[in-house]
Amino acid sequence: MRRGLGLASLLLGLCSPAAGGPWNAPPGGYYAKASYAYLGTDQLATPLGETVGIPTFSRHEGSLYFQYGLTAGLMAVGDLALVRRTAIEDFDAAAGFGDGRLGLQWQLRRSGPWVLAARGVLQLPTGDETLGEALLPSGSGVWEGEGVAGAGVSLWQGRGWAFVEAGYQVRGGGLRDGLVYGAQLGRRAGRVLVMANVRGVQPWDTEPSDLSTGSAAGFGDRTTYLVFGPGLILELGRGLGLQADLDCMAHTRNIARGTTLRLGLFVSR
Amino acid sequence: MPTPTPDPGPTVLRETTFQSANGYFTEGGAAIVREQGGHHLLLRSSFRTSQSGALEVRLCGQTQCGPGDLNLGDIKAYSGRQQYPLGDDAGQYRFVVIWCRAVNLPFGFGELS
Repeated sequence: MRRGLGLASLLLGLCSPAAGGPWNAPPGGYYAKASYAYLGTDQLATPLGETVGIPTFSRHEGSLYFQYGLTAGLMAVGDLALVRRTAIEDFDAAAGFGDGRLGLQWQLRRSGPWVLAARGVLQLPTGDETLGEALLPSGSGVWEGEGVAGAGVSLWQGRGWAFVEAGYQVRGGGLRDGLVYGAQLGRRAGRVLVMANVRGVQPWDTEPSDLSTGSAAGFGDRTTYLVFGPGLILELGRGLGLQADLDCMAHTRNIARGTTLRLGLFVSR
Repeated sequence: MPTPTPDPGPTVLRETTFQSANGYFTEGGAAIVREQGGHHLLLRSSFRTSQSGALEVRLCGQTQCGPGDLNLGDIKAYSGRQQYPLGDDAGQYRFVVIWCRAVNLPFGFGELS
């Protein structure tokens, strides 16, 4: 049982912020992660989905992510980009607070190795959408949210796991809504956990409009991506670990296209 | 008493209708106009483009602008009638281009004829 709870706590927050899978923290339990992410690329996916060359675009981001068990079936989740610095070579650089996200995750059902959950997240416009002539924003500038349902299963006698989730992304300010999805397969080998991640956003409608088009920073209308790649966790001690992920991109629109490296340090109880 | 010289009014030398490029949005008309002895590029009241930063109005030999093309400055508004002064009739340029200088991409263009 203790091993099961330990694995569950490690599973929290493995994927993108506020998308840690359908396993809830126990009441009073928590997971918190400080992360750094870097992207450097000279490719832009246009809103048509074509990849074109641009001056080098870079993004550095430092963020915090947390999950906290409120009751046996309810967990609070949230994340905040404390600083997001983006730059386009020979144009400009800008840094600022990112958008914050707060939400709740309900454990709907648990049966044997299976678990079902639903999550609602509200995104607050705490970032600055005007930075760098609005081409280097640190946030979308509008209220957003998503409702997601997910299913997970424990594999290989508790030494592995898998989950899938999908839901509806709501965007304010006339930005178009879309489908959000994610999946993960992972396996423990001693103090190391190895993962394969997939996640993405697909707007329902991608026809051009005269709305603000966003930029390489990825907050604009019709932003589309499918991110996939490996992840690695090294347990340093009880409830303490290091995490590294590589996010490769495919099926992109209206966003800089490249590989993001993420490094994180987490604590959990 | 001298007889006032009648204002000949603007003369449209060449004009075009914008089309969108790279999935961004641009529509409406533009014209190179001679008026009162000078020339200017007129974006007509039907003009609209994507609300993006770092947009410029350029006259270019191709839809992908490069060195030697004419930069008329930052776009004054994302929609509606606006004018950009020209030194001459700019006859050597084939295209009016709405150009994003940050990523070096056209958001829209029109071939002058």
